[in-house]
Amino acid sequence: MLKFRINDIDVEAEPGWTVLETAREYGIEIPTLCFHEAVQASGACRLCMVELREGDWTKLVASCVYPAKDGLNVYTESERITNVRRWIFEMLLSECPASQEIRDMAAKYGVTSTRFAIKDPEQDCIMCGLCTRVCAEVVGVHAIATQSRGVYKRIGSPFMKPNEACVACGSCVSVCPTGAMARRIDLVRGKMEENQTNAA
Amino acid sequence: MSTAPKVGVFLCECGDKIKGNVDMGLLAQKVVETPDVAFCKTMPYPCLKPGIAGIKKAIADAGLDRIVIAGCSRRLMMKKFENEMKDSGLDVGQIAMVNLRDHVALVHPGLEPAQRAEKGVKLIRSSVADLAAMVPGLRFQISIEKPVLIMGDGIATYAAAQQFARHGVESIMALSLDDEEEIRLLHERYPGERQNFGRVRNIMKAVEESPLVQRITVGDPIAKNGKTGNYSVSFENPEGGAPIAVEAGLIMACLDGEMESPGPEFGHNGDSVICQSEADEHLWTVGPYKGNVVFWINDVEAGTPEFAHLSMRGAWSLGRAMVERSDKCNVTIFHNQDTPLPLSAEERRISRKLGIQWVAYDGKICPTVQARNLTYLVKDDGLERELPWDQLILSPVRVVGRHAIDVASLLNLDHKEGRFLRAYHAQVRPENVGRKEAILAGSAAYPCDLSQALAQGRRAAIKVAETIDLSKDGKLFSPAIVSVIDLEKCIGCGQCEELCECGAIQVVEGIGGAFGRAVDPLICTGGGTGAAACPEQAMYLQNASTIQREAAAGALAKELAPGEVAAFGCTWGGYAAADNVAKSGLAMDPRLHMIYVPCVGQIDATVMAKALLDGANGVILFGCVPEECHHSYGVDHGWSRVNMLKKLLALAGFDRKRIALAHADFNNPEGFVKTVEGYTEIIAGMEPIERSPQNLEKLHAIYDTTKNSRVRLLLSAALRRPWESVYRGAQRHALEYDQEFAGVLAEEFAQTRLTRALKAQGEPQTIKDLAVHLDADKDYIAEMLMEMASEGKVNMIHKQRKAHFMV
Amino acid sequence: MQQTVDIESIIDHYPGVQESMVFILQDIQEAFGYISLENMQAACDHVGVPLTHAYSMATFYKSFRLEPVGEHEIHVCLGTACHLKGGPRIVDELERRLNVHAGATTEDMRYTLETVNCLGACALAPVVVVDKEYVPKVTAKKIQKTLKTITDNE
Repeated sequence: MLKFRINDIDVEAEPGWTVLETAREYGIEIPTLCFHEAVQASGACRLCMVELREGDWTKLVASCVYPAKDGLNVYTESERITNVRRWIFEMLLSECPASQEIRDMAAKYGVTSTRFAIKDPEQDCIMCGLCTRVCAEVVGVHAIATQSRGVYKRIGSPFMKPNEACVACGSCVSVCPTGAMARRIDLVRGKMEENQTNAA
Repeated sequence: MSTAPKVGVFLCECGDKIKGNVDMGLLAQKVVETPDVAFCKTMPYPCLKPGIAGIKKAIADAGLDRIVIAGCSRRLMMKKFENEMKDSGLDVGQIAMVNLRDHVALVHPGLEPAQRAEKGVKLIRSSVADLAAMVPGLRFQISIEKPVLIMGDGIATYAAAQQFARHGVESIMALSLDDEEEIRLLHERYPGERQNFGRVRNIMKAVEESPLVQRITVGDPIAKNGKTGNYSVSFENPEGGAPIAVEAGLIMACLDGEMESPGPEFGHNGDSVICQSEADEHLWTVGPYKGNVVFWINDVEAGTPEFAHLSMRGAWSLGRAMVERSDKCNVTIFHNQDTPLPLSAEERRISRKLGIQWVAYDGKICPTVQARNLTYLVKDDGLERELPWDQLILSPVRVVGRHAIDVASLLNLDHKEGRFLRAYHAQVRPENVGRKEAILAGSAAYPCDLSQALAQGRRAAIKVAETIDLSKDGKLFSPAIVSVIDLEKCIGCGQCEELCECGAIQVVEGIGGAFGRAVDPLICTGGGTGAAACPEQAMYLQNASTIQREAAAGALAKELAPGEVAAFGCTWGGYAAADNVAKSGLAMDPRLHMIYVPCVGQIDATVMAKALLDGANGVILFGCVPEECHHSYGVDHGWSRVNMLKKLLALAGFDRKRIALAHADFNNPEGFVKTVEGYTEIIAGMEPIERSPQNLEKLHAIYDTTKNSRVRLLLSAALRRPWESVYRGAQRHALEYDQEFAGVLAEEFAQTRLTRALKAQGEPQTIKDLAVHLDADKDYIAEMLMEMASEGKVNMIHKQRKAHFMV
Repeated sequence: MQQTVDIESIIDHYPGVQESMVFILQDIQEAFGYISLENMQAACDHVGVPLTHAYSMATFYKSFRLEPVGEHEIHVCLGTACHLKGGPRIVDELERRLNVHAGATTEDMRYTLETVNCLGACALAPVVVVDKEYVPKVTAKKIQKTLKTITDNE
């Protein structure tokens, strides 16, 4: 058993648990976006950042991937964390302004506008890759993936055509935190009749 | 395994999402009171590592042999639980999930937390009853030690055999032609590909030299028996005499498509107007043509635009060979402007150098063949033009030959309607996606060029070899959820074989020498449509049986209040749509209580009847949108059964609307919510079925009628909708069939009631007694009784000069 | 008869392991000028990865093309030196002459016009590469001549 503290509460964890998992077991909620119980954590969205303190030394880590350790001192709602979270929400708002889900979530944390430039007002995807991970890890068909890189990165099926590999289970739509996949799924699943003739 | 099932229930709080909306204390208390529940625990997150550790501990401490996790979407979470619980001794089928969060906690804003808990209890009890009714069926190991048989004469045979040899797998090529004949046939089946024949010869040589490849010369195949790992196939003996028998572990089919000449509307005459395979023959036996040679890529006009690129490649290759061999030949390739040029940059350069003309025509007006001219239109120009020709070469018509169809049907590969053999296969889980592709290669599957055919052969061989590797490592097991046939009950009617989309049903020797049926567990996708259709209920889905579904439906129905509705939702349509309601910020009518099923085609009519019998006043099935059914026709099967139930309800004097079928798309939760509301309103607007002894008697009779073999046989023989354009068996007349079926139902329903009544009374009854008892017409009762007496179903005796009947 | 390029022979050249993917894609591009869906699928089948892997990889690297390419490829350098020496004007000139936008292929599939960020030949600015041959210190007149040479050579 590992012993450490979260928000000054003593907690215990087994080796292999993450800080996030331990916190949730003790009823301490940490907001997440790209985390889903069904798949491996990836630490992409940084919303689950927590502060680790040791004396006057502190550091910020993503709790969804940070392993529990003996003697940690974790704070999930410190001033620094709240500040970082607001920054992340502002960045998310500039990145995908079209997502109502993100706007709602940001508003819950008191963020309603962003100081960053909005590149694409139509964008609703935060590129967290949850959909592609579910497609690969849970469904096991790899019908969608991230494509290109940097600012051109996007999610979709190869050649932006309906992918024969897609089994149309809708798992990607269910896990998508922004609702973006609901608008993209028809491009991926296509019509089954068509998939038949498109087959290479 | 202990005899009494021990079910554990784990309630998820999901942070605040469930805990904040559902009275967890009340829920846990009611769950504990449920029969068969040996353990119940509320957890913050059963799905995270701490939660999973807790579940495993509970399984070990309380000796649980099946568990229900009431949390969120099973579509997303089940795989994780199944993987995690494997080392706790729970297999697929022993874990069930209830979507407490998305079907209860977040979608009923109008309810109090205690009311939500009440609804949750109903769903959990239904799930517990399902698991408790399970008779665990075990997986068994399958070993493949015999060689792979490659049959069908397709050219891919050689590529597959070569791949098997590379992989160290033994194979048998059963061919009716020798290598030279195969090569000679190639130009007919893959015109314009002579430059690739050298490669084929190399492969043939490699195969001949391999000690792992055995070659036998056979005639037409006669029969195939057995299952994966143990097949025997017999062929006609080309030299006469006894048939040739081959033993094999797996069978692969390599089938080439054939080419036919186009019809007279394109002017084909076999001389000046020919098709590409004839041109290929002429080029290599006689030589190039002289003068204007025109290749008309007429695939679009012939109704197969999807093959235009193949014909273009053929024309390019043939045309190029002609020009390279003769300077007296001008080649023009004449094609629809919508078909893109299939040439690489380098080839375009060569084409220009050789002076091959590419003429694109506007398909608005079909070009017409005239003596020495073709008339056509070009884009954005209304002027008709003429293209002179001396030799006109048309695209071939691609078909599947008789031989290929015979082989395919012997191997159960021809079940899908359509002109070619390869088709969309039940996409249920990755491991059984593309099973058909793994054992079928060549252009009869779907038109392709020679190198694609060879590649298919190789690819299929790789997949087959992977299965054999698994077997060698002792890791090849039958799936947990798979159809099984009880040979003691099987009458060998063959309905399952007709219906099975995966081709998993094999003919075996049944009891007393009759022909029974058995399921190949490695081919079965576990969809359960066959099991639900079995007239004798001899086939059942192991670990997800109809008995379990009946228990689930019954347990739910018992709990339902008068205005509430029992629903069945399929993984892909209804259940998934319900999962997405909360995500879209919508609310759902709380009166709907949905039970999970993999496919609505898996729901036996007995399950629907059971729900009505045990207390449901309305039952609705939510399947996929018809064309999107993942089990091919599951939703149509559901439709047929729902309609039978409607007829039975009407016969018993109940409202037909008490059962309904609906379609849902997971990405249209708005539509789903509307459908739900529409149906719950209908049911709420009706008086509930009064559970009087008379009504219960009728409901019981409905339930018994759904088990009647004659009714089930008729139903399963016509599970598809009459307007489906192609299906096996004779096309039925929609109305005549239905009238006949309704007649049979009425008869069987009445007889069921009479039998039940006679059994219940115990002593002989007069016609009048029975008519009063069943509240039915006396003459009709008399007619039924006389018929039953003549069939020996009842005995007629005379007491006080009046006819009395008894069972 | 000249052998046509064949996807199978490209694939057969490499072992069926994931590490071969980049090489196979490169060879496909070399042979066909671009990577089509069918060819990519063939490569994936050989290597044993889903199509999405190859597609992610091919879109990650800028050097892979997924659209058919013209017979002649013209790359105009727009690096700092070339930019200052009039690279954009060269692009304009080519766009006008070939009737095609930079980054696209002419309708008759003869020319593909591309811009690149720097070719490392700044001393030759402004520089254009036509079918892998460097044309230094380009002017509008020189372009006309170069295009004529292409047509003449055919």
